[in-house]
Amino acid sequence: MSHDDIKTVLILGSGPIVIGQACEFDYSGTQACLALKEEGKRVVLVNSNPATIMTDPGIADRTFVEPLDPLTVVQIIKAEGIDAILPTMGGQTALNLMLSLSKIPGALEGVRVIGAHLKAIHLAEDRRAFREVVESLKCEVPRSNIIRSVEECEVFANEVGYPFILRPSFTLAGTGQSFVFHAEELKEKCVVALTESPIGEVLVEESVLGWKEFELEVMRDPLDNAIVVCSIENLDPMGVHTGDSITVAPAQTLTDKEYQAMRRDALRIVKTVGVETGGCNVQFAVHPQTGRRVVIEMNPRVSRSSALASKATGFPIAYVATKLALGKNLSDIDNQVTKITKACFEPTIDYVAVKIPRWDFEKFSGSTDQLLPQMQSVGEVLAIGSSFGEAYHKALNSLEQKWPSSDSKSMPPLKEAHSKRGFQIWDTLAKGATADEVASVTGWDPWFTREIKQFIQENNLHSKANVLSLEKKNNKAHYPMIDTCSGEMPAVTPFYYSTRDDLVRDEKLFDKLFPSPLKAGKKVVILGSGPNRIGQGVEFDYCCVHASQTLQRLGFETIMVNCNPETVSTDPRSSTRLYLDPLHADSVKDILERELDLKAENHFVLLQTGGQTPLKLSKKIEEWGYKILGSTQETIDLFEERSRFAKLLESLNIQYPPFRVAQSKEEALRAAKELGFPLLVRPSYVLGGRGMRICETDVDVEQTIEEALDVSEQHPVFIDKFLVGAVEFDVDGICDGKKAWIGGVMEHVEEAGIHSGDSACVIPPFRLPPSKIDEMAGIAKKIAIHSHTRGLFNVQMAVVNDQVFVIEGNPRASRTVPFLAKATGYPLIDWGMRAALGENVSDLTKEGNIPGNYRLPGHGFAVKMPVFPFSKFKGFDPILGPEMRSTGEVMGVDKAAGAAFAKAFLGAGISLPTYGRVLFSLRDSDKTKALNIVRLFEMLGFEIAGTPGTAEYLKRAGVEVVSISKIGQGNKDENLLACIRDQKIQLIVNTPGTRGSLKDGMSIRQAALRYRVPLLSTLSGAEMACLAIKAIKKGDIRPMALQDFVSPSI
Amino acid sequence: MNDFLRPQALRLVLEKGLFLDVEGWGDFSKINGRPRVHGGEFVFCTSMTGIEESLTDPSYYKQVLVTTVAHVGNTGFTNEDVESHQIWAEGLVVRHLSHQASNWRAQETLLSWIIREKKFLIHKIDTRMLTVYLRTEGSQRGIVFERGSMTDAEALIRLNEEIPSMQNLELLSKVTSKRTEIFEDKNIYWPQHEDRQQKQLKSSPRVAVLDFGVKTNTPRILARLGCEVRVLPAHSTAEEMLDVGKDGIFLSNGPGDPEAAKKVVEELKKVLGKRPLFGICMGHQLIAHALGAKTYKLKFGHRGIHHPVMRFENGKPSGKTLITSQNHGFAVDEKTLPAGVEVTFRHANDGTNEGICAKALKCSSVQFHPEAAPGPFDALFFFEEFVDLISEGLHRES
Repeated sequence: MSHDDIKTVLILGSGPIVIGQACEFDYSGTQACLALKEEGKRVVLVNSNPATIMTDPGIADRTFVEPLDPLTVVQIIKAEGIDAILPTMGGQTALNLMLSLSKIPGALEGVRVIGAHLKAIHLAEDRRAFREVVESLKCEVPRSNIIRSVEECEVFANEVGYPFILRPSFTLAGTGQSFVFHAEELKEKCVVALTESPIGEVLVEESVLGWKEFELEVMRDPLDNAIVVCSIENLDPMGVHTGDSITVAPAQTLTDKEYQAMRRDALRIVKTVGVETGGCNVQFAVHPQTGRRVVIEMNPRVSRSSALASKATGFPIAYVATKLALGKNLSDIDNQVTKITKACFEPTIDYVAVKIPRWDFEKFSGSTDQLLPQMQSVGEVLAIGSSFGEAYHKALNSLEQKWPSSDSKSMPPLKEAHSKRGFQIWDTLAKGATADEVASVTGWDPWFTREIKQFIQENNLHSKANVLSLEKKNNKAHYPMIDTCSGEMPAVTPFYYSTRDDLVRDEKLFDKLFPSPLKAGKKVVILGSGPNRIGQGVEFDYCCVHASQTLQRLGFETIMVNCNPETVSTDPRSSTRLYLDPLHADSVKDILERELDLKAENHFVLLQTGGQTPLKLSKKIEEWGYKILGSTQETIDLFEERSRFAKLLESLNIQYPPFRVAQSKEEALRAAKELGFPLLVRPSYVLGGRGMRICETDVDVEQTIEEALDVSEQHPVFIDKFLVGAVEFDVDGICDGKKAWIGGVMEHVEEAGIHSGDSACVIPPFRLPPSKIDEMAGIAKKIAIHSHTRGLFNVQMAVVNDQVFVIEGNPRASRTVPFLAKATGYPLIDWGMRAALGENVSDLTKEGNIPGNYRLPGHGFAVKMPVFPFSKFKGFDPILGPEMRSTGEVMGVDKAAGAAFAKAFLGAGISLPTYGRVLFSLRDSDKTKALNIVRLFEMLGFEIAGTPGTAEYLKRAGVEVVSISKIGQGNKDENLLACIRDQKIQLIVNTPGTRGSLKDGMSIRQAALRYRVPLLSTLSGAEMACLAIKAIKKGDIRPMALQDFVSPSI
Repeated sequence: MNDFLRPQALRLVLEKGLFLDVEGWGDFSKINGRPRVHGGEFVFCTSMTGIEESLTDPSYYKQVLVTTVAHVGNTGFTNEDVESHQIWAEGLVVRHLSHQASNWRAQETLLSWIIREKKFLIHKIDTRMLTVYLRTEGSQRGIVFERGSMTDAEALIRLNEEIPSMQNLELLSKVTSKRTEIFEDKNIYWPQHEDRQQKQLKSSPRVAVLDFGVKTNTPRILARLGCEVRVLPAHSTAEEMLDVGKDGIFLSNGPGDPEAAKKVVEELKKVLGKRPLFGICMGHQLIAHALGAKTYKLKFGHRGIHHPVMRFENGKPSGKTLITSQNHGFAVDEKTLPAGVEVTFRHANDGTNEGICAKALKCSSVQFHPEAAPGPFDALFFFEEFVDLISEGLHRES
């Protein structure tokens, strides 16, 4: 079954980072591109996420940073002459997109679907059909039924009893899944589940709560050969989404009989469902007392667990899956780790890999820190150890989270699964609870709690859990290779983990068998950015991988350190050597000692591409005596120490918002008096504006300061004068210490007060005169030069009343670098690294002569739009503020601004209406400003509606407007909730008021979320939507490859 | 930790000069006034599960298992999973031992079973280092004894005195059953791993399984496939084999050097072509010898349940690959295979022979373990092919 006739393959990406779909699909997509190119195929890629490596113009032949929407993709298929589509690399998004494409008549004419057949996708997604397949193989499944109404659900409940689970069909990462524990909550939960499913269909299922959960990663080739790459066991029993579970590989508590029976079931299911070729996974639940095994689900695509399994075993699942999709067999493909053997083998590992997810519940006040069948984590770490205990300990210390106090009042009880339970279990065991007690309370298998307890005891870690440099008899880290085969064959892939175990070894023999790397030549240790979290995500992985590529080109050995298994940076092919280790000072110190010579001229540590994580280590790294590549500790400190930074700005005659520091409530109130309201209270040393609030009264300050002090962990809290109505800008550039160059000036759509990461952003700026843009670029250059920055930097500014204020600066690559690089086509990281190494900026950037006033070289517009996880958090009010809450971003590019806006909205999953009714519900201070926007919507043919206050105002201003009573008021069938539910409103513009009216607005916003009505919560966002709708109505929006976009010739 | 669980201070000495202070369990009391030594050929095994099945596999007789997996003993011991009535391996070397069992079928811990069976176990060794050492230096003899009870030089003398070299070592007679027995399946735990429809036959095919150190799963699978199975001692005569194996003869796995089993080979030569003859592992090697081929010792062998083999058809790779359970230190030398014998399988990693077939003689054998236990069931078809072949004969006769 050869696919030699395929010439051009389209890869569907996974879009923005959202909960349940993170950079693991950048990893798989990038691998897929490489694999296809190796096979001589022309690769076309569509993915709306600019922060990815895969969307680099050099990775695919044609790169469309365009919305993952069927009509867009159809245009790409036709324009690019696509022969085959690979939909298994882009997560559920890509599979769903594939299903939509299949429903468009003629869309797939002459196009083959490779990797998984449409039939297989349907089978795996259609729970009823899947059940039938599983049962036909005499495998067990939980008792279940498909329901389409509350009544049908009640019938099921009567038959099977409580609790049971609701699983809406065709949703992502378990969205809308819930447990029904008793009859009273059946109706409400059932309605929600039915709404979540795009086809109004829900699977109701016997509860397997508390059962052990396992997952097998399977590969299958066209000749029906199939292998299991990895077995994964969840520590948290059934009831917690597998993405939110702490997991271990390989499975630890199954005998061979049980494992082999499970393996055989998995292979039979995969073969019967007909996952043609490539990777997929099958999940099982096992009753802890009886061993009864039931099949939970399968995913006919690579997944988050595939990335995990790839990193845990060294087997590159996505790469191999792509080759299989092209018709190759497992025995045709080289084992990338040994190079002498083939891919048809099952990895066997002699270490233990533990994954712990990372959550950001704190950012969603009102939400409950409780783990559910629906995934809520935003990232994860993988740690590898010589034993389970060691791996678990390393994983906890990879999370970069303050070790929470288990005595704290806010700590939920041990029996509930919550975001800090991994730490809590450790502490409870350390304080003397028996392993069996903890196991019975948590539902974990006692094997795990025993191993943790034993590890604590053996290493005397009762009171110092966050130390990794364990004092053992030899007190030395060893670095075994992750080699897929437990040492059975020689491996060439330099992929390592550290261990501080105290195993018996002959050190001389060890050194002979596993020689340490030479401390010679040119070397850079690159510190990665750790687990994804809100405020620090895939963008920094992009930066680290690019840095590695550049430095390798310049003759350096690059040594990558990272613990995020989803990433491209933890692909061993991204660097000369890879250490899958925590970015914890102890681990980093060990690696630096092993790799670098303190006296060598050309040995460096690179911090500036990994976001805030590596910067936190800068002081220590300098103390240890290593050279930081580019900006030194002195420069980093100048930027990070606000008082020093303020002095620098003053000396350069640059304005900044006046500020004070406070370490108590009293100091905060005094500062408020001195500065005057409104104020921005911001904790220091935090990421993504954690704990940041705008205060308008003393009461606000009192309410805010305590949390801020807590978040700051003893560091002072900053109290800034808040710039009302300011427009914010991000400026990214490169400096060689003497001369600076600006890559671009990006304008934020939302006004100051909304975190820069949560604001849409446009390049080039479109609301300010060119002279202001030049002024900002000049200011940024001045700061860089006078702080002796070497390498990349970023300055954030605000313009209010024609005056420019500097808000903050970063002596490192910023979140906007990948976006800017894609919009301009400039290799920003490449130039940044070379500037850091001492090359002259003017020489480097010769080809980067930006057209006047920082327009794009391709003379178009690029828009970055954030996406939010609001629907995942119950009880949270979905509004924007100074604390960042977006998980990811999309990019829209076009020659025209309106079209770029439209693409950005569509990419972010906001399908703007072109007709119908727009509802306005505005805070008083916005009403005057809103009038223009209301008129724009009128001109576009929309009917205008308003909540009573807003409608009254608009009516007086002469707008024809329908008044709709608020939720909980007026006639139950005609109030706002009913209108939203019944699709009588197509778009909502709701700007949140102050504390009093906030609650009203909250119910509107939550209703909008629930019923999927587009919601805009700022006027600038609404204005942007107007421009976009106008462009959509004009109807000339066409997909555009980045390769064409950045070129000025078109 | 009670005294039973407290490890003893021991010394490990390997033939080619690796000396390590280790700790572990076992009977290291003096014997005739001399320190007691335990030992055998140290071999590494990469299975991540199935230690119980491996320890009770007679093919590990006179060997010490070095397991690579990080934790051993997590699921403890259950008598449902043994492959014979005793532990045959001399001892076990692990990285981390679980002192408590956690599995719904567990009856006791791995350690208490090993101690009960009078074997030894050492733990907390860097098994990666030991594995790569055995890979580069080759499987080799080694002993374990009470630390301080003798010098390393003395230990090497004891090693040479007491531990036989695997080359030319005949072990079949030590592990085989003493008399012919009808196989009865007493096992209660049997995962649903066969979905084949039973064929309607007029009578059950009668099969002789030659016990060179057979794992119970071999006769069990044959019985489940409808055969009437009798297990014969290794040194049965050709007449006995033909008499008991009316419809077919199946040769089991077993320990030691196939070269040393000359007597068995002589008997096998007499049954060639008279009955369908299938074999596994040692059985495969002895069939090769009977056909006139030779075997040789591998540097470190194949032991584990993740071994890929490629199927060959008409001398060419068919593209079909299987993941198999393996445990062998010797291999068939393909260069010595006579005409009329076809290679059916090769190891996907090192290309060594994994299967042969002499169609005209109704003779087929594999180096790997299609009976699994431990390991995957990918190669179960090997038994089905055998049963189909002998059932064909039955149809003809009836």
